Amino acid sequence: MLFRPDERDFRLIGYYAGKVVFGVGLAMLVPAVLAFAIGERNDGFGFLIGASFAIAVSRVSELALHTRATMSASHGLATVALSWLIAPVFAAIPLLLSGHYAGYLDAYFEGMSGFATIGLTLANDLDHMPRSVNFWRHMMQFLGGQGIVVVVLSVFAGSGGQVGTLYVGEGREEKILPNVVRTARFIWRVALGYAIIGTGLLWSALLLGGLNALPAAYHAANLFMAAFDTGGFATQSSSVAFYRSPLLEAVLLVIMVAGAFSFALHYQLWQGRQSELYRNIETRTIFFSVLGLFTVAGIGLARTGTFVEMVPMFRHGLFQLISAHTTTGLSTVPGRLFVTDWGVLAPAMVVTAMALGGMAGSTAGGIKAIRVGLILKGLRRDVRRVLMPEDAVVVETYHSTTRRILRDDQVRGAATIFLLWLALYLLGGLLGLFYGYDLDLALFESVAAASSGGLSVGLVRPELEWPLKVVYIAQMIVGRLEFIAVFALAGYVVAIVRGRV
Amino acid sequence: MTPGAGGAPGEPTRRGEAPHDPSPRDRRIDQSLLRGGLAGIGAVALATLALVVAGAAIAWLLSLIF
Repeated sequence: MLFRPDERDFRLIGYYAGKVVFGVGLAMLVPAVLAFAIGERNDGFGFLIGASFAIAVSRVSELALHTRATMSASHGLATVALSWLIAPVFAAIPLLLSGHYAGYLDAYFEGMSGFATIGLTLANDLDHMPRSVNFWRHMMQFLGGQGIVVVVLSVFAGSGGQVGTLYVGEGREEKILPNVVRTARFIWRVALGYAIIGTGLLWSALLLGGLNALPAAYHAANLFMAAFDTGGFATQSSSVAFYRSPLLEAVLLVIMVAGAFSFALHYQLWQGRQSELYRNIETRTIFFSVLGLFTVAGIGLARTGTFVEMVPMFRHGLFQLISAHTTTGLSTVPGRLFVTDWGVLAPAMVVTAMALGGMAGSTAGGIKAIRVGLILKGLRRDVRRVLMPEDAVVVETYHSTTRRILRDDQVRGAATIFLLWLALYLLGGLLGLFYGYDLDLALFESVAAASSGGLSVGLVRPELEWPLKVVYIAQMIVGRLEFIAVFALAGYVVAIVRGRV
Repeated sequence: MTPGAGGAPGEPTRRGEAPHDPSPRDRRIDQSLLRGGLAGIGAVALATLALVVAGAAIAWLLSLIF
């Protein structure tokens, strides 16, 4: 049967996407107030222009497309994809007007990198960027990070059936609480709890590091948003290395790990079920994956003699691997050093960590620990089947909130998504090769863009060829929305192109 | 009754969204979550600490070997 959307479908999708644009417009008023408060008047007007534009478009869409039709799963998915595509359109306006971006494409790239919590940047002279504009970059990550979790738990998983299976590839019930509103309320409660404690600790660490109270508060707020939402933007071009504070890095490690934990796991922990930490398939997968990758990276670093002593190797190596695995992208070493000083093995492990990513239902990107865990469990079950007598019944179980029996369709779904991820990573890598970049550099940046890892070896810069910028933007949104929402939107677009509307 | 304008405590509204007046069970969940918040954050900090300690052990072993 052919997919034939009609005018009502497009009206519905446009109407709800317009509401998201309205939210973006309102959000821009926050940095606008900050800009006027700290004397950055020009940037304040930039935010007002962006906000006015967004609010005007959203009001027009509300008037023109108003509908009371019920939203189906495909509507929800297409709306999410469209919203993520158009939110940066408006968010980029104040960025462009700040004068720190070479053109609109660069500003849009930055907006997408923000909302998709990637962390790659095309900003010129980041170290002298107005504070309100820098705050907006981080705020986009916070909004995008919290937004994607709500989307995953309400739209993707809530739609159930084929969509739920294809999205998660794990067949588990993602709902934390009985309904969307209570789930969203819990998500924001967790974020608020971490924001208060995390920002407070970061602020204290920065004070101890010698910053004054107000600058410390500004840096702490931005660092928190970048770390908890696994975003990776930084206020300084040298990222976390700018602060030269092991205490700050320790606090950031906890916040990054918290950001990469699924909200379903947070819910269990907040209910006092601490045992979930060591029984959950995702925490186990990430724990052993981080340590395994760190071991190999450590061997690589030791063989190349990058660090003379053990302590700096441990400090920078583990921070980079956790930053990569949680797909945050904060860095304690300049990205270029990955290529010039870190040899081959260690950067390969950093790329692998970014590619694997955090937990499903968190702000982290990448393939996700649940899929890796289920595929490994499936592999173990198959090996046991081969070794056991033919009539033996082999059952493999895993723990995620409760003990569950591994099903074939779960492993199949996880493997399918795994392959899609590999294809996405290769796509950007191949285009990088086409433009004459080395394979390791091209693959590093491609994985960083698609997985939302956000670490960079220096390829992503304002001088980057525009087709690569466009492909990285596409990788960002496809990776952020995990294929299915983009496929749904593409279905509507194809229907228009083929005249099936 | 206007859709979404309330109802008995804990009763879902017509669209199946949140009850406007939380039931006693919902309130109990809210209170237990609030109490558990600090414990939850502490658990994440402990998990990170475990990761760091294990990482330090690996780094130490590597420094002995290389």
